[in-house]
Amino acid sequence: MTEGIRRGGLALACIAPVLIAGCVSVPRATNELEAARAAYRAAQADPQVQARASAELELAERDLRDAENLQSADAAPARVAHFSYLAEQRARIAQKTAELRAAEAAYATASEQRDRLQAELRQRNGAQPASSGETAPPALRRQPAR
Amino acid sequence: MPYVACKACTDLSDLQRIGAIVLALGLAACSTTPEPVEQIDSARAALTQAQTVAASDGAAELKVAQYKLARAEQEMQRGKNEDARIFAEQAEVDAKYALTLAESARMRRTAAEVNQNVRSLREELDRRSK
Repeated sequence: MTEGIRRGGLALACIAPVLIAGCVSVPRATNELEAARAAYRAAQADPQVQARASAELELAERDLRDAENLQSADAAPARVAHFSYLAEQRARIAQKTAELRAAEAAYATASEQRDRLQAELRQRNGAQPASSGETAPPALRRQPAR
Repeated sequence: MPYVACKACTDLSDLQRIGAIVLALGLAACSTTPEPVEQIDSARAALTQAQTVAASDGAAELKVAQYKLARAEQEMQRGKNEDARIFAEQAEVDAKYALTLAESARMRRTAAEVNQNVRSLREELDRRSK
């Protein structure tokens, strides 16, 4: 019986170094995780991101959650660092996406104004503005082909 | 050092030996991740898309993505699938960031140009109404 216990102890001695090497990691990917948290917080605090890139922000949140969970589970620092990196980049993508969509909206508004002003200018340039108030381009005045 | 410890394994009973073998196989199975073919494909697709836009804006980010994709392919060839997957996933987000960065910069410039047109048109209309 004591022999069995001794052998069990030996078996444990055989696998313990493997388990320790595989699971317990002394250094931690704290810097990477901290950078990811900061990037996510910045994106989350940006109302433009909330309004225009909520789906992208959610992807960042998912990766950050994975990184946090791995860190609390004492996973390999390389894995924590990897998910932290993904979270940080996705937070930056969310901010740039919000910027892009804001620029698209600004472009749409400006284009509308430009078109309106151009039409107004054309109307004033015309010797006699059409009595109906409608100035159709010449191509449209032609009879449609049958 | 681990070898010395494992010399004692030869003293184990059959049952314990089988247990040790199962454990070893289990550990080996865990460390063998599949080839990250999908991740590499996604990264390549993201890079191709980004390359069409991110020629000047986002060029530095694009370079990083290219390097990581090359490393992913290299690591996969060497059978280091876990490393390959990590490089591929990072290459994809880097390429996406480069693309969004470039698109945003381009759209802001275009919007600014149209706003300039609007200002010129307003000035011209003002002159005519005087």
